[in-house]
Amino acid sequence: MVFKSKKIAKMADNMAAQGMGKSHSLWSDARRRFFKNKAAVVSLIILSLIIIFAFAAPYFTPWNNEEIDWAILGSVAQDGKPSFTTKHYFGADPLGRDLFARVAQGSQISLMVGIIGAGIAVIVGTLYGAIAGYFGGRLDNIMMRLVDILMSIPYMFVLILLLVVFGRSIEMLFVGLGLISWLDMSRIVRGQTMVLRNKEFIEAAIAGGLNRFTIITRHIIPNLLGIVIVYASLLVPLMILTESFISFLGLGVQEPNTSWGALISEGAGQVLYGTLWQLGFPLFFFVTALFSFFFIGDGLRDALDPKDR
Amino acid sequence: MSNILLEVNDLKKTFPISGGMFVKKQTLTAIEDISFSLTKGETLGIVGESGCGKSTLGRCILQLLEPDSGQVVWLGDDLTKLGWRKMRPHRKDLQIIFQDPLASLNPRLTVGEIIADPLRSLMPQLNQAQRQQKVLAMMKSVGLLPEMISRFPHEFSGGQAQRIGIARALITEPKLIICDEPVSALDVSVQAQILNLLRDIKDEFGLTLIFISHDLSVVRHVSDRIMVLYLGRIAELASSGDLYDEPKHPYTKALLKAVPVPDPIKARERTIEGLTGEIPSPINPPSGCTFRTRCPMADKKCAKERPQIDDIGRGRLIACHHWRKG
Amino acid sequence: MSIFEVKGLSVNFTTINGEVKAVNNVSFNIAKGETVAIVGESGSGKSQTVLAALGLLAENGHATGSVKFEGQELLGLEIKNLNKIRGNKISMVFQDPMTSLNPFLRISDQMVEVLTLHKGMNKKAATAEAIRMLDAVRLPDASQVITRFPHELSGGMRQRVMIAIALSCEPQILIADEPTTALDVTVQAQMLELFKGLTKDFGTSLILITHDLGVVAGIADRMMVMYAGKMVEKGNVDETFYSPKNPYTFGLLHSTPHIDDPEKRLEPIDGLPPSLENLPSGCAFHPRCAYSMERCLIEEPKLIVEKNGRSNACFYKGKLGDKESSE
Repeated sequence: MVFKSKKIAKMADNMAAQGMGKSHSLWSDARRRFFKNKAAVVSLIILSLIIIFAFAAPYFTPWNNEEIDWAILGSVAQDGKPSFTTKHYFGADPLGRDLFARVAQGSQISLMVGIIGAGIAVIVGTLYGAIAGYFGGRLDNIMMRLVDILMSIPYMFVLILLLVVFGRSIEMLFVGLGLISWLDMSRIVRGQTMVLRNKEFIEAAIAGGLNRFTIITRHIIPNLLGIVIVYASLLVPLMILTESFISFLGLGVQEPNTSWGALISEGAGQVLYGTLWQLGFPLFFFVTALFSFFFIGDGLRDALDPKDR
Repeated sequence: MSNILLEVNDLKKTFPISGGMFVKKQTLTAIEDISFSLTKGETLGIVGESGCGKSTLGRCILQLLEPDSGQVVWLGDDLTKLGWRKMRPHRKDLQIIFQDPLASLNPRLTVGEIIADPLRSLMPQLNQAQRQQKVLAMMKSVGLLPEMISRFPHEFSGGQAQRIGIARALITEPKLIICDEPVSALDVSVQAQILNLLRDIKDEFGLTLIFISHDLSVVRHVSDRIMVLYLGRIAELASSGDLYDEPKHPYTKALLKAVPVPDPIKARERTIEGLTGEIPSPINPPSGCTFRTRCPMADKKCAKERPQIDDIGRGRLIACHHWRKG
Repeated sequence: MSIFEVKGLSVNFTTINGEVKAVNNVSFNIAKGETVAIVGESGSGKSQTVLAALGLLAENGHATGSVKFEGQELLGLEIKNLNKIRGNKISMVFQDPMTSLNPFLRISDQMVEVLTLHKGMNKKAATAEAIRMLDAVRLPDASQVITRFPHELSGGMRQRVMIAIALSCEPQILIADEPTTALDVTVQAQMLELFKGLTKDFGTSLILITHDLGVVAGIADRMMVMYAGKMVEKGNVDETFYSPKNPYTFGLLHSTPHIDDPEKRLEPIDGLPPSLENLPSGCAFHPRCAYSMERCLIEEPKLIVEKNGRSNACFYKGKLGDKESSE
């Protein structure tokens, strides 16, 4: 059509004059906004350092997490102080074991519990919530009532019961945490899915002949990721806190494995003896990591704010 | 007879307004007693104000909403009887363009992915390269530069975004496109571009259109026949020339008088005597003829009896007890 | 006699991407009792012009120039004194009546508030006056309506309430920003009749902001067309509609479908409205103008007042309609 080419030429001039600029997806916009948030970026760096510490530190010390230093056993309060000479950089715990190595190992466990626990919650919760939210009706009703029932069970009680009955192990901890952590996520995802489901681009996808599974995976879930990521970043510290509490009660990871909670528990009990480093170091890592997660979560929320879309 | 693509019979759709567990459930009748047929190549305009059900009607035809009762016969098949799976092959021929261009495009996908989306499920025999070719050809037809293919919807203005929606609707080479208020959200100067584009692609691709809008000037401009809806029922259906020159239903007359005309002298000659009141709530419509609360000719009969939809020849339908008096 | 004089009004917004000029050196006068329409599309600056006058700009906006009401300068006026004028001598009605009314207060509370504040009435007198105003805007059953909450009323009724509130202090000027865009056609027609009647009965000047040329033709005496923040044409409605001088005005008129003339092919204005952050050089309309010359790319045309009182900002002096905007 002749007149079209002239129109398109004019339009091209227009666009050039308008300067559409570089193409940018919503993710790159969000990334840009995130990196402008100083608190979030600093927290990200700090968290990365903690992670590096957790996994690399054991290589930098001659001690491992269960080896007892017989030389200082019995006089830990005096000889077990943090020092470079004894190579106990963080000092020693009440049983003479190197705290540096133990804190590193504890960090590994706590972080893994947090991240893997949150990961399970995200995957299970998102799929569950998206299916319930998309199909609605009776299926949604049944699925959500199940969630309600599970939520009304006092989880701490169940968790402790599981650990007592089936024995304390990391696997049990994951099972227990996994059972409770996906519930909130599924509710949030379900709500968001219901909002998305009514949007016109979903109707367009149906009119385009897509099957329901493809609609959920291609159209709904990518638009959920924003809220899922934000919530997940808040879930990680929650998992760490839960695990820490369990360990603080003495029901968490088994010796010689340890976690922040267990270390804090030990350290708190030893404060009277003046061995403050036994409480201080694990507490420092614990608190710093949690704060970092919270700031990152805040930063993510601001960056992914749907209002700006 | 083989020229009739679509036949809608007694279509009805209600929505429950949930009361919850202890409150009585009310229903909202969005559309009722809708019957009409559509011939190949025509543009049927559906016009009405809020609560008239025009958007619901469009979606029911496409089975995006499930009608309560009635038939939607497309090329011989009653679409209401088909489940999700059996409906899919028909979706190639039935497409829709939405009002809000940005809400109808997935913000996470690129323009190319959006336009190619229907091809992936409805024409799976095509490979990636073939799809790309089709997408680029379609973008050219609707006036989008090929470089735009990797951009995202939020980078576009309303008019351009609407072109993306149109390209997506056309990509499977459909026979019927339902245009649901396609220009209402656009600036005036851009509206005209899109209206002209729709006219051109209709001719180029041999399409049949159902054009839904609240703007009577726009509908008149594009349609061959016009259906006027009021609170979910047909008030009048006629060719656009007939409807405009000789409106028979009092609502149509009032609507025509109310349309603002961009012509000062003509505008001053108009008066809107005779039309009072507001559109009643669709949850609790007036008994009998739903228009009677605002109609200058309403009488007792109108309150008791709902008017039948009469076929008065030349393809004209009208639902009014007293249209002859007008 | 002008009661509202705008001279050289400019509005700038400070954004992440720099300064954006939403309104660029706009001047106009409003006389007592006349209805003036400010016409433009999105981004034309029509709303920001009046918001600036009433001190309602967003935080990152600042206005320069002069806006005088009855000789008093409004820009930069202290809030205390501005409040004596806003709602009282100059009132505004907005597009979406749902968000302009407080959903938590009854209609009576919202109306009485204005009257007790500006007219110093006691509650009883204010309520009676409010009912009188609701009658004046032809709201049926006013004494019932006044006890209701906004969500219990329909869109048209809420808009009438807004108008009643705006008129309750008998302002000199009523500003209506797209007052009928969100309403159904039949309700819109009633609303426009209402405006016509009220301005006649109360002698109020009406500034109507709209993009709908049909509405302008229906009730305005004079009209001003804005594009990309600048005023491009001013004149009385009849002359501007039947013989527009500015190519943009011409383009707008020819891209609006006439219900009386459906066969005519619409002549859209090519291209897209410009982004205010990235305005074209010279005349902002030149990339879309069928009459543009070399001069248009370099210089910005000034708004020149012509002999018959009409104003136009354009270098093209020939007859419009000689060239087709699309080949």
